[in-house]
Amino acid sequence: MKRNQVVLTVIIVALGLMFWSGYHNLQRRRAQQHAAAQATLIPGASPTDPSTQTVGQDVAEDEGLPNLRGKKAPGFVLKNTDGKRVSLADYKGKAVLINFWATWCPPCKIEMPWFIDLQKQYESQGFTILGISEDDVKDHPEVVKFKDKIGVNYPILLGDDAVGKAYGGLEFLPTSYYVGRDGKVVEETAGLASKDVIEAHIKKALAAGGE
Amino acid sequence: MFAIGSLFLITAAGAQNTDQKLPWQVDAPTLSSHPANSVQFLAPVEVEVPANTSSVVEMHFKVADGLHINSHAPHGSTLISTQVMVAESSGLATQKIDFPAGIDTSFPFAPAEKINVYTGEFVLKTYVTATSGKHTWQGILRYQACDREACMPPRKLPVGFDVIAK
Repeated sequence: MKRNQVVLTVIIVALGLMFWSGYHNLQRRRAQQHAAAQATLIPGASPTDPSTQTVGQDVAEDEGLPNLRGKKAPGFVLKNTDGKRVSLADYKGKAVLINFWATWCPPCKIEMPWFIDLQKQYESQGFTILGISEDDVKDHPEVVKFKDKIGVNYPILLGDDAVGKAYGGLEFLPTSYYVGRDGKVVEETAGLASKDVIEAHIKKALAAGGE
Repeated sequence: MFAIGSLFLITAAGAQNTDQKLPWQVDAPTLSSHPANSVQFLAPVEVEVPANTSSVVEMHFKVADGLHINSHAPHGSTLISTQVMVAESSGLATQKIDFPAGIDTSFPFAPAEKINVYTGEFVLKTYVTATSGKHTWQGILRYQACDREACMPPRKLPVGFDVIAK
């Protein structure tokens, strides 16, 4: 009888330990899942927030971009196709899409008719596109020819090494930066995007940094 | 600087739009997964040719998977063609280089247009004449690579092999 009581006690203690261990593991798994969810999606968090920095940087590196989101867009002064000097600072208070492209880049040329439409559509709201050509100096006549041929209605500037470096070296074209009214980069893309994505980024730039 | 991987940026406002693959991006590698050198020089390291006689040397190259480069005659005046610049060398003359015909290819982002491109391995035939002895043939392959959604700036790949003329 006494022996049975001892066996029963041991079984109860063992079962208790199993339940405690299972509960502890469940709690730990839930905590890990919660942390993972926070690491991939934090609605409303700023890209420069340290808690989201790892995710933001990974994506920017994956896309071959320097991750300028949340940072002041690097300033530049470049000549346009008429030889006039144009500065990014001239567009203070406006939302700006800075698009790096080249005449030798077929995907870049797919976006440009969309840019013409979007420039017309959003210009009155305080928006402009600045196209920066990455063509060699000797090919600048080709830039002008192409611009005139498709009727580009926004400034086309002739890029140089300094602006290319400031924007991460431009490993891929097209590359676009969307700058809010406060001069900070709100989005950046490398490679051909759809017109819908471009428009969504323009709206985001128009909404960012306003009074 | 550019990590290999397939992470996507998910922002609060643009999550639905930005992580959605576009028609031309389906099955396409991510941009940064492309190697720094889009084209590799495979061979030869050394060739033996008869002295003072024109000989053909085949230079083998490989374009990285997922990329294409414009051929020597890509159609379209603004496209950057693949070219070779040859360094002068005493006792070793290069008469000409034959470029292979590329393949006319249309891409999902512009299905109506055709670009003549090289993909995978391609071979350039170099016609050389050397005086007796050992020489080094040196040149630069200039090319411009794209994938299905983006292009990379033109690059220069140094190429060289030893020529032993007997």
